[in-house]
Amino acid sequence: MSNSFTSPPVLVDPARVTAGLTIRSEEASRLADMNNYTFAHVGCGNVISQAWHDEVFQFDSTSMTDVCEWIVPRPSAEHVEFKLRLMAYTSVAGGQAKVTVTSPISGHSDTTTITITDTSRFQSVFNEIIVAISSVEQEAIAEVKLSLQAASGGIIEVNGVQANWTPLTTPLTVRALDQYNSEFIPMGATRMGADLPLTSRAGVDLINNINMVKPRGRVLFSWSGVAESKVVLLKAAAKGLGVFDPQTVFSESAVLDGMTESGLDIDVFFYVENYDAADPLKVSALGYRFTMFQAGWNSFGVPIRSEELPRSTDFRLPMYRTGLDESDVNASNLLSSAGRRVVDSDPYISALVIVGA
Amino acid sequence: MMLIPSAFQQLPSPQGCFNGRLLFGGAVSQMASALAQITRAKALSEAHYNVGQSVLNVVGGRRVLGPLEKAGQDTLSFLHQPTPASSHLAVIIQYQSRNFSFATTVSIDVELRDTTANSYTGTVLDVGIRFSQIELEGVSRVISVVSTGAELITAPTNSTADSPRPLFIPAANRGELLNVKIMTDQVQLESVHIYDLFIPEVTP
Repeated sequence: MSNSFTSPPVLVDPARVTAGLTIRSEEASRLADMNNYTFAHVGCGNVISQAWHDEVFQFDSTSMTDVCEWIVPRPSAEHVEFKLRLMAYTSVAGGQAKVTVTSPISGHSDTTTITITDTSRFQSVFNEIIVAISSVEQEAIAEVKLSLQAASGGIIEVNGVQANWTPLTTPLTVRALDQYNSEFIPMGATRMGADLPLTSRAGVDLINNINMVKPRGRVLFSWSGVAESKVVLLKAAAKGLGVFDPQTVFSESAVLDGMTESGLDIDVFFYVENYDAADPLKVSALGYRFTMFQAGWNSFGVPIRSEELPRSTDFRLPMYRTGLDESDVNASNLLSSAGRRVVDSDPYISALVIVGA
Repeated sequence: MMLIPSAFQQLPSPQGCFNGRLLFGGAVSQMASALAQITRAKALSEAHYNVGQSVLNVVGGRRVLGPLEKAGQDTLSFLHQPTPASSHLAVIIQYQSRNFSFATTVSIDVELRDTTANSYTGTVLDVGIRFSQIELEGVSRVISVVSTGAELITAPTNSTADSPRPLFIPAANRGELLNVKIMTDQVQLESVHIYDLFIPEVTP
């Protein structure tokens, strides 16, 4: 009995499963098919996407150095392949990039290092860095770090980064599947076929399975500063969020209705450098004012309360501005030449990630 | 045709499926709608590329918009991982444009390519579109926004860039990593946002 699925799955016609009609095996088997597909694929879209113009993010240190860090939602413990595509080049052969995926609670890390192949901007190919997760991780998020090491006398220039988890392939493994310390029960294609009874267990499992997949994270926005980049004419890639960034560090994202009723909210993650308990950094985003409470990652769970955008009509989905707000709080707390500066060891936000459901 | 709900669906109580209970069509319909929403709405992928600019190193963050530094032409690649069910991509671009009076042409071209062998120059899947002076704002030192819109077009056959419309993913390439390639002329990109488009009506 194979836990197979089609991609994309054929939908169940709701008109065929209304009152007064018999429940046919075709609908039951399609439900099982969709059930398996959701576990394999949901949450495998983009989790990191960020770009830099040319001559902005250049790196020339010959020791392996952490440069960027993001939080990414993890679909399940069964999703054990993380792919990060690095659009970069090295001016001298031998420039390397390393990706580390860490589970923040267990502390388990996996890394992969590759040698960058292109020698000019968007020359030929991007480098795909595949990190295999070697332990069963039940955590809903993971930390991803990008590290670079330039070849002697050369520079690495990064022009873009994209990442996602690899979807599972059909059929799903024949056992209960792990996700966030719960068990997802895949469904056998034959078992849901014709001439077999529709069991009570199938219905209960299906409801539980759907409720398990609902909370999987969707990245609505992610941004990381560059901890170390080559300084050219007093300029470099941004280390943290500045006072201008509320004009560009946000997205218009689909935030689906029914999240609150399903017990779901939006998770906002800030990475704070130079944290000062006597002067905790305040940042406004999504219509909220967040007060940072520790060095490193600070996370907050909030419901959406900002105004829906006119874009909703066009996109046929409820669209909201998700990211930094244009506010006095941000004008006085983010990096600026007149206020906080990294050179003065002032606190600043070096990464921002917003995850919806 | 069936409608795909965009909102999370309420589910029946698991007790409704216990032994000895009559299983009604309504309960099964709720499960079907919930799965349709998850696979066709929740699962939709979005890519949000902030395109970083140089900043003063002592400050460490961006303080001002700054002058447009990207005079002339430029080509950038933005990777996007759509779902296997996604057939259309919308693109929203924030940009700064040089005042048109200083430029002979001002444009943003957007095309869709596959990424076979991780190549930036994979097969063109959609010749794509051009945002020209008609669609763009020619005011320097101001961030403007332009969008492809979200019309669910039929498969395009254009051999040169169309006027703005969503990009179309051929059936054979759905679910694959794609390259949204953007060519600019006298325009500096500030952010690029790529969306799998929601399709509210589907034939089951």
